[in-house]
Amino acid sequence: MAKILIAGSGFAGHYGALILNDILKNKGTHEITVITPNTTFNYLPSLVWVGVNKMKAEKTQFNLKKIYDKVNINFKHAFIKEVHPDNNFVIIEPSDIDSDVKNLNNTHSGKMLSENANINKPNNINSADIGATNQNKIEYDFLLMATGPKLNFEATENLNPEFGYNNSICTPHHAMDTAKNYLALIERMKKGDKAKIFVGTGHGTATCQGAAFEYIANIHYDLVERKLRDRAEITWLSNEPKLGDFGMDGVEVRKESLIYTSEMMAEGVFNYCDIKYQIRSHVHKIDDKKIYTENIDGEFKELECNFAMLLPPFTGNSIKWIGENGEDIKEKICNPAGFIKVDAAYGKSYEELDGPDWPKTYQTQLYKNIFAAGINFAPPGPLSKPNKSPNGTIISPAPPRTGYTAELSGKAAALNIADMVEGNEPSHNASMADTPGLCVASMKEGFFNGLAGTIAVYPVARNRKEYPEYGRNLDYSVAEVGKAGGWYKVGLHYSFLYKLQAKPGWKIIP
Amino acid sequence: MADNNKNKIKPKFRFTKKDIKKQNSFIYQIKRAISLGFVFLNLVKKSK
Repeated sequence: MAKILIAGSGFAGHYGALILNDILKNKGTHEITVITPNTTFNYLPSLVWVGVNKMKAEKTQFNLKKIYDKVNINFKHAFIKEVHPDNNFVIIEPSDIDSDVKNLNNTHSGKMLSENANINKPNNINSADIGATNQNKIEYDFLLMATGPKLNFEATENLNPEFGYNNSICTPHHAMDTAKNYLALIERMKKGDKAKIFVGTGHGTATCQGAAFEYIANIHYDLVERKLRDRAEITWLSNEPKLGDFGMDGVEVRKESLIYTSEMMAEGVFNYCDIKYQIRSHVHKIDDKKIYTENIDGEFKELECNFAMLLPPFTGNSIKWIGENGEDIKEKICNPAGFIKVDAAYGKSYEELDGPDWPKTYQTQLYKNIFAAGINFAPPGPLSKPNKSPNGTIISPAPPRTGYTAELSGKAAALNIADMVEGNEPSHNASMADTPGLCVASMKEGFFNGLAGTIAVYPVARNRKEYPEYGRNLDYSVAEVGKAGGWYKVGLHYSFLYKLQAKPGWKIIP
Repeated sequence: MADNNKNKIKPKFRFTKKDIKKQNSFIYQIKRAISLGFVFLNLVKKSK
């Protein structure tokens, strides 16, 4: 019998748990346990609609325990505080967080793991302090780390929405607060106020530009519908080296004899929607009146602002890695940002890095029974060209590995654990240099009136060994805006939530 | 990775009124949805 622990319940962790359970259910008695501080699965791609008050947050989540009870997966509502990889156990601490937005009156309700990391959960406790009792010590044969990121708002002064100057759509709780603030701004605009709105990234190393792109377009179309667009000056503020880069070095699409790029698509959208843009920028600070930026040329600017939604950078979670003799071995396991090193070729420069260097099996190399997937794995380098200002400020988007990419890595890690349970070597590959990236970026909510930018790329990480010209197969590339994408965006919302609740036929949904 | 912007033909892109009218056509969008569906299916096959 194998004991398998899965840390985290996002795209990688939750889907990995369902896949693993399905494969192993008829192959002996195996025990699968999901450890997560959240009570719900949260479908983050739809939070953009919550943030403009077009969707209720409860429509983006479902209760995890009910699903795990149905499919016989153990559920532990807890944080992982320590991993002891030499002795194959973890130390957990019970979670008091209720991430279900329907229970908003409870303590810590509506909050999630990544938020909790920002509300000063004690990080300095260790197994000796809390006592390694049977309740908080869980042994494993295989461990899949898929806890997602810590939202590192602290990297930029006052960026945390709790200070009241910035907004976020990274969690259901954040998106609901953002909707409230946005509606308050609308009320002021109705009375005649003009507004300067900034959307984008709040740090030189932030990622998930796609989510910010969705939000800025949704704000534009919402203000058009409300006939208030002429009272708002909307600006895209981002760390991308070029428009439409999205942290993945953009997309090229072959259109007859021409190459059309995501840069042209983004430029076209921004021109059409009268959205200004400032790219190649790092944000140092935000306050009640201004955003303080520095661009790639080292120029400092102060931008007057009435409403901001700037995404934070991600770091790994504050989990301790303890060696055989009680020593801290986190440096051996994780990169400096706290993400777990797996089977990638680390240490290469941006120019040297190519497709084969990206991780394939998501197995850690020091401990063969530990895997890391989703945002938790350490990428070997950036996808976008890294830059530094003359003042030494790094302006380099981190590679996006959320959503579909996270799900694929979680699935591959789960299948590889199943291989090892059966006594085989990991055989499943979900390298970002061998798998597609799909991003349907909503611009306007609704099935009949909706609009979305559709971006498809194969593979996500350029693989010049395989595709020398562009590093990608342009036969599969898409970058376009239209209603068709809007239909897919709505379809993806319902199909993903259906699949991830393990409802009948869930396995046939890709 | 080498600079992928080298040798790229970069016509300046703007949405024209004709583009918008075409994009808003229901028939055109149905065709695009079918076309995108095939692209997505092929990509999903690639990820198996």
